[in-house]
Amino acid sequence: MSLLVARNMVGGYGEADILHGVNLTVAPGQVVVIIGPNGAGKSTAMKAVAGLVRLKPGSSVMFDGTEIANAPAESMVARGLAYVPQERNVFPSLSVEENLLMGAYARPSAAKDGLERSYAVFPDLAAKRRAAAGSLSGGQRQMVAVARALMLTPKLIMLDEPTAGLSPKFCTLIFDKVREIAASGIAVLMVEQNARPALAIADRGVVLAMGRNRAEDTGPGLLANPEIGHLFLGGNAPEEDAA
Amino acid sequence: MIELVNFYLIPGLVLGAIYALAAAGLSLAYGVLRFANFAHGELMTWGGYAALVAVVALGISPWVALPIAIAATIPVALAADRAFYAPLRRAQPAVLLISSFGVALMIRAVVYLVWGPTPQGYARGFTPPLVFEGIRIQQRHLMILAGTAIAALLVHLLLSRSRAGRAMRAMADDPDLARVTGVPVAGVIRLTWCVAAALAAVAGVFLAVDTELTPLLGFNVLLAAFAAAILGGIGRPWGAALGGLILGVVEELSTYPLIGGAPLLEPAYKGGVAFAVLVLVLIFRPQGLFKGMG
Repeated sequence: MSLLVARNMVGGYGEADILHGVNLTVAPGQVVVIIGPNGAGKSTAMKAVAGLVRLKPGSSVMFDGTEIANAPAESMVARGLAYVPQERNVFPSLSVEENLLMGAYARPSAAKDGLERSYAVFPDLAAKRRAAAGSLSGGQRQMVAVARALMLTPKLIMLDEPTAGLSPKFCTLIFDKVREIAASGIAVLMVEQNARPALAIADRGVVLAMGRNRAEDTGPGLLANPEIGHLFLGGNAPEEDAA
Repeated sequence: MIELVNFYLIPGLVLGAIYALAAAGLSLAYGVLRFANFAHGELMTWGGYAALVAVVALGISPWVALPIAIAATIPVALAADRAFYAPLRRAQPAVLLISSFGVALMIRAVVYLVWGPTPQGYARGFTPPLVFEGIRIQQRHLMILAGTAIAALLVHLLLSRSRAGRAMRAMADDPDLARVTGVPVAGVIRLTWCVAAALAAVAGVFLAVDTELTPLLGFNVLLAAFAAAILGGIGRPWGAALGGLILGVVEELSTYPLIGGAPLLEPAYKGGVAFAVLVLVLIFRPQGLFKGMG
């Protein structure tokens, strides 16, 4: 039984479609990574699931047994679907704690528990709870954004390039947290440019190119696939990239 | 020195308080809705006349009529949003600005039709000023200052302590992120109009108490309120309120006979002071005076 089944997603921002029939499947508790070249439609596919990109008729997005294609973006959190955009993913003038509380806006009764869990998962944030989110470093902002998305314990959290622009230390931390999140039963769908380390922690990897599915396999399977390695992973054998 | 306080500083603070209320509402609406609402002045005027109706019909004081003025102004703002701004939600800010100008003219036309162009007052009797150690302050001025302080406190509590206020600030920060975070955007917009209209109504009643009711009551201070909002960094209600206080005081002090017996600036030019300050701020500190101060 899959949690998310997106079939034949077609759509884009204006006249031109960016997605030409993308399929995505995520099972409960799975980590699924979307990789692909620039302009492949990775982020757009995720935004379409989140209700931020209009899908054409014929597209289908089943989430937890309900059709949600083109449902209002603000209704997704209450369904258990959280989305963390790549950029501008915190409210800069709000404090860290206020940012987290916004994550529980749809269900205020869960706010207190959510805060406790967030500070347990990201202890660094507890010390910064009164600081304006806009004053934090990129890595800290990413933690705030992820913690906010986890406030209501979603069924699926979607992360758009969570490690973009972060130092290697923070990248490792984020990937560790992703595994932790998945271990707690929350599925993770993630777009990543850092393809190798992302696939290394992924249950499944999806390769998109030109708005279509190009390949799909387990994370290790894609890493070992010479064609994918050559086209999308820089052509290095996985071992050479370990450092 | 006591003359400076009695005839310049206190009137300046009173005028500044009214600017502050007007600018805070303007700034709040700007922050959440991203356009300069030119109908804000007419909302003030509407509130002023609504209080007049209550004062005349019920024989109450304008202070007691404040809740009625607020209750009468909120539906006007909500109706304007529903009819004119909501269909334009995705339009350029300039389109919304012009449409708000149209809304202003509509409200003004109704005011002219219903109440006529003749200035009116809340028919107050003469009340002697209160005197403390030579400082004379009109009772109504004291009420305006106290009322403004209470309104500022309430808005502060709303924005900083309440869930809805947090959502308003989140919307002002990033409307798209607020949406994916699960904030019901339409509801927050309605709430913002309620608060902005309430502030406008209070500002309008206070201004009418201090001067007199005319159909141009609010419009006449709208540009100064904009100047105050920009002075404080537009989109920040607290900055706007401080900007309003500063402008009011500077405006009144500009006519103080500092050197010799002649006023520093002829009172006729007083209205230009706000804009001189605005121009200086835009040149030297375009982000507003209080950026980075929360």
